[in-house]
Amino acid sequence: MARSNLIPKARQNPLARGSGSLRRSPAPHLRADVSTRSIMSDVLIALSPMLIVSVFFYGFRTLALTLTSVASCIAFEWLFRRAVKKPASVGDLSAVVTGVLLAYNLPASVPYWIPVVGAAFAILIVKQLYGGIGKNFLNPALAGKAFLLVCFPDVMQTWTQPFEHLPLFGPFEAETAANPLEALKNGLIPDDSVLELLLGRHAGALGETCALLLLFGGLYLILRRVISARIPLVYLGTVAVVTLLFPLGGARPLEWMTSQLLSGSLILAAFFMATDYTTSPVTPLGQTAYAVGCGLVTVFLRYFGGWTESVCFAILIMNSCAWLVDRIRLPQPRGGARDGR
Amino acid sequence: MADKRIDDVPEIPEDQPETEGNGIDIPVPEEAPARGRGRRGRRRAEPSEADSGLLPESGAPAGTVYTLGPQNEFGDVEDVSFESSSEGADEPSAPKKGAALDISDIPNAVAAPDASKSSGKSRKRKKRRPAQPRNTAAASEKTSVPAAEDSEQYSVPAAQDAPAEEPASVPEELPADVNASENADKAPSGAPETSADAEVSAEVADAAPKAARSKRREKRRPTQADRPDSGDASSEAESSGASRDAVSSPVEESSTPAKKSKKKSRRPAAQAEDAAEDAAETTDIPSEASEKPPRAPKPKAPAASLLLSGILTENPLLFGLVGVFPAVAAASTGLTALAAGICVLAALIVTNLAASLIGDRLPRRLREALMLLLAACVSSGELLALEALLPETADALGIFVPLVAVCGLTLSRESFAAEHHPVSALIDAAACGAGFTAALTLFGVIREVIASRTLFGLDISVQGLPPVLVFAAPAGGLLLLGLLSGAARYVRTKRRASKRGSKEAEL
Repeated sequence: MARSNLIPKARQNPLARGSGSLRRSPAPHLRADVSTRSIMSDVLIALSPMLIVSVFFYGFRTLALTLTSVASCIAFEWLFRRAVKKPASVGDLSAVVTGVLLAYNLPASVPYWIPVVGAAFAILIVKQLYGGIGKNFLNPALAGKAFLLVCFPDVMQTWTQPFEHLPLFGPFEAETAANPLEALKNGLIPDDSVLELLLGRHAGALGETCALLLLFGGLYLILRRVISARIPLVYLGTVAVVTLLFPLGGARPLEWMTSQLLSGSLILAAFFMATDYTTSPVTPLGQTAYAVGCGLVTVFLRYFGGWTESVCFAILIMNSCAWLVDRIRLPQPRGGARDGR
Repeated sequence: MADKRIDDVPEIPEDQPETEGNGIDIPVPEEAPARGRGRRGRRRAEPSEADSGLLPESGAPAGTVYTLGPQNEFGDVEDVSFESSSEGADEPSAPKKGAALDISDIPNAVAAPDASKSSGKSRKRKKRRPAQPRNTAAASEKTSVPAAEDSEQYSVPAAQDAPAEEPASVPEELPADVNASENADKAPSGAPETSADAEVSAEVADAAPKAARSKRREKRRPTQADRPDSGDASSEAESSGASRDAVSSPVEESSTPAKKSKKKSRRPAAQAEDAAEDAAETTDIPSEASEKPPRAPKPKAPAASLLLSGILTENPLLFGLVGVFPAVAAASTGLTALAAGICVLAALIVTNLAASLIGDRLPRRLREALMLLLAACVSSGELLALEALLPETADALGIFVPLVAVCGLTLSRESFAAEHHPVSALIDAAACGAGFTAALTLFGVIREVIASRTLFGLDISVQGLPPVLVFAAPAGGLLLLGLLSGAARYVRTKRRASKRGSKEAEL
């Protein structure tokens, strides 16, 4: 995976670490200064511009929602690890990333308990019950979003107009706006222009609208070699090809494809969630097949599914197939038998 | 349990070091050992796990071959040889290709407790009359495994296993003072009747298929294949008494029948039969038809332990995960859950009682089919009753009332019932059905409260908290079932650990 592509930066001799004790680790002895914490920090850096933009669009309520989500993720992770007497894992920042991604998938108008419930499901059930970081088979943030979507569909599918700042506390009346996906669902090209879709001036979840910044964030991760470009590019490419070939309702194919690509949480999910190390395949061929599958299922669900937003379901479905996809062609040890023995 | 089995694999050769290697001299019947090994393969080697290499430290390569020689009349295997053939090194097994059979060749489903019995039988017959073909009736029994395996999974293993496994009908978490020794006292309650019943049931036995009779005879003999099982059992702290019995069983068998029946044992019926059989052998009656081993009364299992295991410690829904479909799909409210549970309970009682009364008068497969038919009859009646009494609940349950007929619970208890006294079967059915109903109702109530904020239809909604709709759907049902089952297992493991700890502290 991406980790094996990392440029070795032999800053520290691992043997010299600690108080004179030798460290034993399995084979690829990377001496790069890379840890889960550094990877997660990079992801957070790549995600942070979206937070500023969301505050700009919807007011400080989005910041409060994100902080609530992050705080509850950290709290649940810490509490669970303490309850089952496992070493604390809050320090690796993975819970923070989960919290931020979960918040980015929420509409700005949700009440504050929504991210708490989502964080509980994501951290406790999806992540920690399966053993914590590296052992979950679904992306926690996506699973939390899907859970919220299935449980509270009304709250989760009410969108407000950008630049209509929401109050921090108390009930509010906000003008609802149509998500471009709803138009796409009916085979219509949304009213928002391509520029509006790119800049994020359209209804949507608080962190998914500004496609341009998300693309920059993804580019940063690719340049930092935190993720490889394979999964996001193949995913987006598959969606582009299929929507270009099969536009609904007689729309012009190119326009249809652009709207499909730029609306909803497709770009956010493709760069930040489909590339999750734990829940995506390891082999290059497996990653390609996984990304193609994500694209096909996404378009299929967008065309024929019951929900307006189907990216999270598509990636969750492919997450649970990742182990299968990885078996397409397992790397064989040189000189070993074909079945790997 | 699984890891225990895996750990046992490398120990088998060490059990029999002195008998190794002389298997070539004795002609081995073609299929009989293979069957014996089929069972061993299922219980010990777990080919799927061994093959996948998940547990490399277990030391048994995938191609491990266990070969069993013919039995002598005390049930001891005269030669046992073990070959561990890794891939590409088949030479060691070459000399006895006829007899050697890879464990992985035998499908799991074929490896039944019955199979080992019939193998013992055919092995024995071969020794006396080598020309006689294998008993086809016994062979036809070998496919009836799944139910037996199911039942082993969460409660009482099929009772005809090795004597050492008998106390398995007692749940493990019974405190130390209620364990093996007390069961041994309870079990012989059938002992005095044995001789009287023997004559009475001789006529009944006449009508029974010959295969079933001789099968029963054979199953009393602990084979060498079973002996390692007793070793396992001895590792369980609770069944130390049982293992003592099992270890001393060869000595018992060689003693006189009278002495045997006086011995305190958990299987009086078995010993009576052994005695009758020994007598038949010494007088050397030539024809099979003239020996009529009496139909032994079926063993009773202690009622308290049946109730405890059925309702709590081996709850079919929480630990066995039997009957998931009514739980996930039908039990979305407390009332529907209760109705579904009672439907299953009624069907279970009827089929368990019938299975116990029929016993082995019918071949296993036929009996299971009959039980399905019977459950279908019961569920049709239930459907009519529900429609008359609770039409709304009947509508909510819909197709799931008729589907009670194929609920896994009825079939999984059937194999236990068939081998036990009707009273025990009835208690078992009531306990399992009640445990299932209770767990299902709890499950339905939780789902109802979370998903629609009502409790048996009463509104208990709290302002500001919207209902969590997913728990009304099967997805939420599966989620909740997993959580409940996990919690129940956690509590059970904790209790067992604390019991074990306190027991060790006493010692």
